[in-house]
Amino acid sequence: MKYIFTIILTFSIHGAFAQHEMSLFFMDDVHQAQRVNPSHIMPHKFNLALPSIGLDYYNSSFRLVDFFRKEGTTWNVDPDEAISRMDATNNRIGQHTRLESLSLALRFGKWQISGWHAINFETHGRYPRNLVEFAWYGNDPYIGDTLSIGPAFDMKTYHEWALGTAFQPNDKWSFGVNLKLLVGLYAIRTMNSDINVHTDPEYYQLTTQTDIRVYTSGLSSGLFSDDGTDGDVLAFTEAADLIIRQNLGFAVDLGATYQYNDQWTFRASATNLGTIAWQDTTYEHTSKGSYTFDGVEANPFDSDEEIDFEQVVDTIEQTFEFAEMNNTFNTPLSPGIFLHAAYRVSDTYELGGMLSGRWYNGQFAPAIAVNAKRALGKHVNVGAFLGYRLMTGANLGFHTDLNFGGFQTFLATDDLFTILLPDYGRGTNVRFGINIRLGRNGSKSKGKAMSDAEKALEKEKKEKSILDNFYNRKN
Amino acid sequence: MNRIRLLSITVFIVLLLFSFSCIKINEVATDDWNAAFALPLLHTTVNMEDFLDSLQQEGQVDIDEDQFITLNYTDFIFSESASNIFSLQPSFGFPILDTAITVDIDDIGLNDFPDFTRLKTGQLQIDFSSNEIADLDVELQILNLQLDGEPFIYQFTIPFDGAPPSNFQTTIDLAGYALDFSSDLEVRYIAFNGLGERVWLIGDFPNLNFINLDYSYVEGSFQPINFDLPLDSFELNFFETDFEGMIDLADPQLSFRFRNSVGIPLMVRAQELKAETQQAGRIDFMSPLDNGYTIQFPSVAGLNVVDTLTFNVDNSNIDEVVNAFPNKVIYDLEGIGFPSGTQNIRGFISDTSSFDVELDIELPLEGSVSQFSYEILTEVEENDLDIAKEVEFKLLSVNDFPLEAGVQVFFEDADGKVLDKLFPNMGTIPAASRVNLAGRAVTPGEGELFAPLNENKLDNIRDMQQIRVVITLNTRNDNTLVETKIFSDYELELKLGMRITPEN
Repeated sequence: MKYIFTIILTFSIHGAFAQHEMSLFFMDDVHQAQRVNPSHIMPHKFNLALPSIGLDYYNSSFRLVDFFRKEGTTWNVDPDEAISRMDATNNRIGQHTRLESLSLALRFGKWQISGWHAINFETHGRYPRNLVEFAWYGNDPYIGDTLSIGPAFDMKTYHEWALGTAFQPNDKWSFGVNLKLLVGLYAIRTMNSDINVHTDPEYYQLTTQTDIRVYTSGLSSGLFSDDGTDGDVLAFTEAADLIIRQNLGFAVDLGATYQYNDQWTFRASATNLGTIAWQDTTYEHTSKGSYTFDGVEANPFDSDEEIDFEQVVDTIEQTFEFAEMNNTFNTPLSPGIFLHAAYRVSDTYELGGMLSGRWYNGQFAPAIAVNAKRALGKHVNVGAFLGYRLMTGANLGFHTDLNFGGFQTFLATDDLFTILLPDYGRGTNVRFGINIRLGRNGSKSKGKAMSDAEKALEKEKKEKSILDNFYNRKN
Repeated sequence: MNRIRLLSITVFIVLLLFSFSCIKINEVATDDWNAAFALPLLHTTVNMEDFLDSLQQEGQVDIDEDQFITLNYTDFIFSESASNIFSLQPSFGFPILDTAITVDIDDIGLNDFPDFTRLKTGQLQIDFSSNEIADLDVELQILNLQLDGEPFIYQFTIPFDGAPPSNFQTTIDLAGYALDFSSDLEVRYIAFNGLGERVWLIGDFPNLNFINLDYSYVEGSFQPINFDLPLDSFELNFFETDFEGMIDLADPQLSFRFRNSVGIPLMVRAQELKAETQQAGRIDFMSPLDNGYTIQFPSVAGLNVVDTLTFNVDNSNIDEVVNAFPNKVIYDLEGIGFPSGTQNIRGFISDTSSFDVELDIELPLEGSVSQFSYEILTEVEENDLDIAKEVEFKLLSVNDFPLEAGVQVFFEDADGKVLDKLFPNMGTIPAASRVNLAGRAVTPGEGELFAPLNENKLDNIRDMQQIRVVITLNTRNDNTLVETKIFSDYELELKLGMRITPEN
């Protein structure tokens, strides 16, 4: 039982290097901002993103420090505090790893066309507090009670082939859309995961009720059955098989930007509106029923009979006997809606705010953030924001981009606090990338927001011009 | 300079982020895991019938309409055939000294010969000799030898062969003939020579010899006939299992059942009758067989008469024997046909007659037990409890029996040395609380027994190799022999659960 904790731990700690995507809204200098709002138009005609990675992690219920007691480099599992913070039924933990292999955006006047490829690996888990209590305390403290311990687990790995376009019909408005072809590789989708365990106070008979329905794709047959999978969990692992599969999906991102005046900009977007239809190596695993284990029925007068407590284990396993059928299924992406407003205080300062909402397996997770950004010279932009996400609480974000010639490097995180003190955070993300940008538009359209670096350069020129005029008049 | 400073700050921040992002964890420990689990282990319903079936292999459990139980053990112990009880004198003979003779059978040594004998086998040898110089025609009559009610008459010729004496010898098969010795033996012959003159054979007298005689039926009065019965023993596997304690069955009975088709008075007498018991060694059975018991016999051939001799608490010490848990009964019996005082009785024996003896033991389960104990020894191949830090067993019982059970579990090493025990004192399963006038328990006894094994006890039994379970039974009111009946529908329901705190 205690190994469950090791699994949870491993999962949590690996996730601790990731980030929940929030900062991209405030980074209108990088063309990856297009992922959260397709109407974002870059000032450069040629924008190429080299391979980059985004890691995203969230844990809705507890901080690692609530789960562990640190002694040197040894982390002792001590989850009392974490358990006290957990919701009775709806505790969520998940991660999203995104590897973008290549991304290109080309601007032609008022049009911008972009395309990219990414591989996404998403896992989302939901578990009731009883599961952790059962694993950590056992069922003994709950004699006479019924524990709901069914966890839900969803996973999907898929290619994302995207083609986007943005159009700026006038100085005020720009619109954009990303069309994404999705090719699924592996998936697990949990539809039902009710497992109730009741311990009878009489002599501790265990009654288990199950109503479980799980779909899998790309995984071997027999994953949940006694026969097992002959050791291979993945149905295919050859490189060639990881390119094209029959699990096709489609998703769209929509976005609009409104430039109210030189100070105010408003953006709205909806992303990941789509699903993947899984048809390749798909299985529906179901387990439904009720079983009471009241111990081994013994015949004390049968000398040939041996009471083997492995029978107990076998019997409990029978409770979770799964039926397996070939059935296709769909998985929605995690859609999101976003509203963003930016106010340019000066040529070097900008304030912003964002409201967002995302659905993770049907669970709506709203978030709010306020941002401040400053251009440090013409090469560096830095920003920080305070956010609050219903699922992970308050967070302090940080983002920066460095621009030298045609190269741009950026780094962003939604929660610097979690990065600096990982065991005190409940979720964060990290996004890092290198872009090549060429062909900057010399005559920017009126009202088109300049990048911070450009504005800093303009300001420096203006100050120099004022000083030159001042000295000329003085002379 | 300003740009360099900004760049440096940015690089520092980036490095800081990455350095702090690396959580150094060498080990994740779960030392504080202190879960405790509650599990049902087993449940069983001990039925009286199953229990008795487990104790005996050949016996039988009889349940009457009131569900009252009687243990029955029946065994065929021996069969004695007629030939072993009585055998016919196989041969006799005599000369014919005159043409008509009457012979007292006692004079020719046939005083033990039955009054009436139907021969199964036998031959008559006839030996005549003649001094006549001509052929001699002879007719021989034996009035006591009959076939289908007609006396034996045999005619023959002694041929003259040129020089006297002339001889005649022949053998007659007597199967099916009857010898009637209820009166004296009468034999006659009539001989005529060729001139028609009657001849008296003198000199070499004719001889008659009866040989190879065996009977199919005999009848008459006999002298006492002593015959040996087998010296043997029989096992009683009622009590194969080792018990200890005191049991007092109210009315045990041991019966010898005689199935007799021998039509004469027979007495069976015990020369030796003992029981080997678990608790008292060999015990002499004191019973009616000590002085002999005369068995009833049929009055008509072909009938079987069943006679039963029962040992009970009134005529024997069977209660002493049974309550000492006998494993074996050893017997050495002798038989006497026509014991003294029965000589005036006419009897019969046929060659198909036999005398069979069966043993029947009846143990009605009514009585009382005190400190009656039963042990079960189980080897432990793997100590499943060595993963435990603390264990507590919970035993629930619903007891229909009017017997209070004590339970103790000893944890032992390979040599039987007790490492520890489950209960400080014997655990108790309460008896049914009340017995009605019919001796039937009416209210089940319900018990709840907790047996904790703390860390010290678990340490003590780490090396256990075997578990010895001792169960003791007492009728209600311990040490007071209250007679109680056991009914087949009595059950003992046991449910065992466990709370266990595993070690990390």
